[in-house]
Amino acid sequence: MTAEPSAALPARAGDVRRDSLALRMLRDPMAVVGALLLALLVGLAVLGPWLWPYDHTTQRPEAMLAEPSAKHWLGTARLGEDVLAQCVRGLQKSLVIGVLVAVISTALATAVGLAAGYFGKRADRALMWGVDMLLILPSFLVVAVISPTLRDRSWLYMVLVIALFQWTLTARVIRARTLSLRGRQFVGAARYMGAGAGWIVRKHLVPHLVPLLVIDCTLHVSAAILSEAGLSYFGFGIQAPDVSLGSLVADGSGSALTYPWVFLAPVGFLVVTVTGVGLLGEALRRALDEGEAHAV
Amino acid sequence: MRSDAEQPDPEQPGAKQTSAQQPSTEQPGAAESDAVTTDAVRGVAAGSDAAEEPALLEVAGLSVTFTGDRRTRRPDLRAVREVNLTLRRGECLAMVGESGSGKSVTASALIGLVPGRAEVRGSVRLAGRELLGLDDREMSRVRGDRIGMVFQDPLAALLPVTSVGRQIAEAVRVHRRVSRAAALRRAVDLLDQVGIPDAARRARAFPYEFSGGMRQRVAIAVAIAGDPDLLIADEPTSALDTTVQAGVLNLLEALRKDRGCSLLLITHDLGVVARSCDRVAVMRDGRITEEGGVLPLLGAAVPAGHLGELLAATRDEERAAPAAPSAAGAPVLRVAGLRRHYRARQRLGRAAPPVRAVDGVSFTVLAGQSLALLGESGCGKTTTLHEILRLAAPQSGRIDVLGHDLSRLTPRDRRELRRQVQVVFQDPAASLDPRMRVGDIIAEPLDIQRASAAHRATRVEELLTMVELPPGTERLRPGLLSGGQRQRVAIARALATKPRLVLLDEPVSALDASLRVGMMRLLDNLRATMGLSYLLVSHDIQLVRRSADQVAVLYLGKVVEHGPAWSVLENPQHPYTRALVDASPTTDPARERSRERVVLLGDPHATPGVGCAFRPRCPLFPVSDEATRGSCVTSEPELRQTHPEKRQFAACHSRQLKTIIDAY
Amino acid sequence: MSPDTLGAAAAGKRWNGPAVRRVAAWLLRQLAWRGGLCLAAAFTAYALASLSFDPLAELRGQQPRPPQAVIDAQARRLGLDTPLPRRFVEWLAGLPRGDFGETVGGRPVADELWRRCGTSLRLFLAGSLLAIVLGVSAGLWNALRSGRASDQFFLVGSLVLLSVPVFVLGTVLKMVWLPVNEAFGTQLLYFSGETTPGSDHTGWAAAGDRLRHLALPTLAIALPQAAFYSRYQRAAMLDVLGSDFLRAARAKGLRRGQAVLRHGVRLALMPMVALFAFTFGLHLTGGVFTERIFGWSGMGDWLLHGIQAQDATIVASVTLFIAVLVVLAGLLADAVQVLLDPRVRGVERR
Repeated sequence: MTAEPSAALPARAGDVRRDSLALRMLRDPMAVVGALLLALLVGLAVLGPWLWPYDHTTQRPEAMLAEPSAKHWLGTARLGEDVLAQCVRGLQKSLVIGVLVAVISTALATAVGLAAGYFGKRADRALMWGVDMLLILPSFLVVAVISPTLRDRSWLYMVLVIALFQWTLTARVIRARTLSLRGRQFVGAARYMGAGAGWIVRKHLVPHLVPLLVIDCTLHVSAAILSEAGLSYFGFGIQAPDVSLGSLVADGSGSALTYPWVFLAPVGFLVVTVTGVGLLGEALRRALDEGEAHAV
Repeated sequence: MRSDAEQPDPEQPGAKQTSAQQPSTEQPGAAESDAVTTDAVRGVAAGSDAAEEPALLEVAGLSVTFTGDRRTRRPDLRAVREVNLTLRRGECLAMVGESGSGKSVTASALIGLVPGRAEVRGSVRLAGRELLGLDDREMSRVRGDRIGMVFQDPLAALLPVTSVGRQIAEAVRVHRRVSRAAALRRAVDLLDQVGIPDAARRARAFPYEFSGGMRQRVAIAVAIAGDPDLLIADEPTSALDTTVQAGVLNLLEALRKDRGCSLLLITHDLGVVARSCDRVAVMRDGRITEEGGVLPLLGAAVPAGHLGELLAATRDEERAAPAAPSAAGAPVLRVAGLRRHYRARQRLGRAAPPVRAVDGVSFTVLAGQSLALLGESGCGKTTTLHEILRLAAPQSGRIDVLGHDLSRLTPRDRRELRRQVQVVFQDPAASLDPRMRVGDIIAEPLDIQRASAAHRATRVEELLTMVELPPGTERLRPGLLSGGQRQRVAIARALATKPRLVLLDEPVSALDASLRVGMMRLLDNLRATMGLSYLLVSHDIQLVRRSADQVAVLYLGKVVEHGPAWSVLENPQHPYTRALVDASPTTDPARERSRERVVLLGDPHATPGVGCAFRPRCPLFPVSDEATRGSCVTSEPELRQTHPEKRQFAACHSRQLKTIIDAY
Repeated sequence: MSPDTLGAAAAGKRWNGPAVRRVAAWLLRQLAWRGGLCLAAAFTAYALASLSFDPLAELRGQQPRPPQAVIDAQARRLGLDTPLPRRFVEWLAGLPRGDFGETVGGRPVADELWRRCGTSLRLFLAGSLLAIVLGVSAGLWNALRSGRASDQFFLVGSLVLLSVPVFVLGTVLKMVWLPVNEAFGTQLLYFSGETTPGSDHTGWAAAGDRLRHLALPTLAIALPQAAFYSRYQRAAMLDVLGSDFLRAARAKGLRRGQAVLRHGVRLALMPMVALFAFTFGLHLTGGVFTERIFGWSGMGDWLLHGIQAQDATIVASVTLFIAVLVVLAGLLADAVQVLLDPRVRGVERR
């Protein structure tokens, strides 16, 4: 009576959560479609240059603005460049930029959000003031303004600048989450055990933020790809002779009504890439939410 | 904002309400014989008047099954299985059971509001009319009008953005064609009836502006707005302090008598049942195991069945001999004149006076002893605990732990003291990190103190044995454990560094009654075998009586009475202590119904500023003589020895305490 | 119960003297905080632009190269010989007089500012309003029908829509609408500009002409925003649907629909108000693109022009304009929240 049935432990002692995250994702058609799309695109981006005899700079004056054909699957552009080769080149750029920006801005957001949320008071006020200011200042504007300076430098600078203006919303969310986690009793308990800030951040805060970070990371990939495309579209991003999906769209949009493939091909790549990332992020969010529901 | 996870739709499309109307009409015999084991008992309770009047509520073969989800592999859950119940007009039926026994789901099924995707079968008849299978339009005419519902948490049930008057008026206008003004007048009237002072003005206030007890009264006003025949109250007092509980229960009782409505009271507290209910139905695993009159069932010398188990746990606590005084050693913890005031939060720039959470508290815990801080929410007991745990200089006053003055600790001393002072919180679900494994949780204090890996492994094993958890538990995450197992993990963690002083913050109040005794016994044994000292923070009289050597009663940040636990609780000398003791119900219906009790008026948190802080709620103040009243108003009472031979102290101006309480 | 107290109860006198003063104090503090943000944003833009731009490049690049004295004179006129912070302060000092400085070309910024301001606001506010209406209703509708095919369709649809860059969406809208225009044999909806140039419409005809220009760019602004809002609104409504409030409201006797409409929607809208304000700035960028695509000469178009013309004054002016808009949106959201939620208001009336 007094001793509870302590022998009645759950049968599955293994890591229930992690095992089933993959399984949950596999059962979600959204995740499967998103993953397949992305795998296809990444494969194309990596292998593409070996599959065709042309690269994005090859010009064939004898076939300018040719319709899609067996030779040029997606037709040719104004100077006879193969549209598919151009798009694959742009795709590589987009994917690399997307991932880099996402990693940098998520890391930055985590650092700032954690610092502001955990230490509070003055650090919080100062950091959040900065965040608010960056939120007011459209990132597009800043990148566009300093683009002349970046023109002669590596595109990696552009990655940095895009990242610098993308982390702010995530930082706010992480700060809010940190504030609420800091108030949770297990954090208080750790503090009463003598744990320092480093210990609490590593052992209690970060593990709880991981799902959020993963989801936000996918959002940042999408946002960065779209940012880069927007900048390049208006001529502030990747500069000729290099191409990006954004600059290709810009080149094609003038003749969108007359030679639609020049416009639609890069648009298709752009939209499918971002949608794929979005689907995966959405599915991840669902799967992690379910995991959360099970854990508690 | 971020999550738009798939949430089950409250009603559509999954909730099928399959009604089986026939069983009770066509073959009443079958339904009856199906009805568990208690026909004999029911006969006793119902007596002869059962035949004359048809029952108000007849429930037959009620089953609720929550539909699982194949994608997430959640299986179906049969929460309620073949429940049969009858309730006559004006009667009060209690449904008791431990958490998860299906009693709340049953109540939701009666009004057709089972949350989530669920299948409801069986028959629910109100005054002869079948309710299951009615569509939303018809059922909504029953809800609120014929059946009123009071939920456990009034804060979650009252809309935060609308004034309470308008919420009650809405409930009136749903069923009656009256003007807005008339409905509002009626709302004020109802607020008055449920005992809200100054109802006309308070009708304009929002729920967050009320205290817990007053909020529940508002929720009751909403429930009775349609003048229902049946009032269902789902754990209406579980979230409230004991002295406030009594008032709300009295209100429900009075409403039932005045209006002649029936009351279905869902509770896990057998004391509440003993006090005011006619009949009781006991639930376990979705079934009713016993049903019958409260007097015969609870009054029986040896109660049978599951009710017997439930009662045994509580009675064990009630009847437990007061703790044998432990051998006391040197002071382990000494608190003197501790103060902690908070600056009140400003809203829209409005300044507020500081909150005096702890206002001059002193006590001493001796080695090997257990001292209880007793009081209701907001009395400052938890703040005191956290002030000690911080191991830092207090705002004002002095704290000595193991001979170290906390305001003069070197970092090195503090690290050492962290090892010696540990804590077990109330709710293990909150105090254990859900993402860590039990082994890592238990070893966390060791890891922070950088213990060696070998020591860590053996120590974890030792600790699991100590708290009676099977080996292998260390690989699990706390989410997979039961509440009791989790609290054992929390205890093991507290003992990891072999502390000398353990602070227990309501260590068993999040657990079901049947587990409490076992947990306290474990704690008592550990104290004896490991030579620990406890500072026990609790609102639970029974628990304090059982496990504490000394007790200090706190009211609004001040100690109003302290002394040996048995002496203070058997013979309280302060009116507040007396009220606390009286408010704690016993499960013997005969005793519970006959005893006199001191009931406090109003809600806590009303500080007058000068004089005795307890004055606004004090039952003695109005009946005291002029001179005493004068000192109550002007000066704060000091702790005084109540009897030359006793080490018991109380802070009250009234000299004829005992006689006045008895006369009252 | 006297009729007087009842009357007071019904009227609910909320704002008494001290309350007004408190609200005024709150407003002042908010304005100080947010005004500071605006100035800091404008300064950042001004500084970055000044450091990065070379407004003399064009002059220097001319063939034949103008004499050095001409270049120096232009530099002086643009204030390039004074230090940056001072130039900014001087620019600031002109603002209260309505003087926003001069463009590189020597024309006062203020002249064009107000005209473009109206153009942009008309387009962007119409788009945002449409987006809020569409997004909120789609979100609420899908939450009520969560799990069904239509919900799944909207979910994927909103994801795809959010994956289409604004500058593509504009062009796609044009492509889609072209056959419609051709089928009618006339420009039913226009692809570029605010009005038909040289038209002499008046009254209703003029308004109609404007509307026919407004339709497509408004849609281009509204669709992605609506997709964004609908996802959050759906989540917020699902939260409310699972809450005890609705169960309690139905226990009173409200039908499901009544409970959802009277209580659920109001509760689900509250978190959205903050979101509208929060993401206002993000969506403004979409407005910039849309103006370019549809040939509207608004602030966004001007900003792009300013960057291409290496003009720091235009950039700073437009930034200030955007910052003020974002800040006002935030202030408005706070005020609406105070009205919707008494807990934020916290005016005690005991």
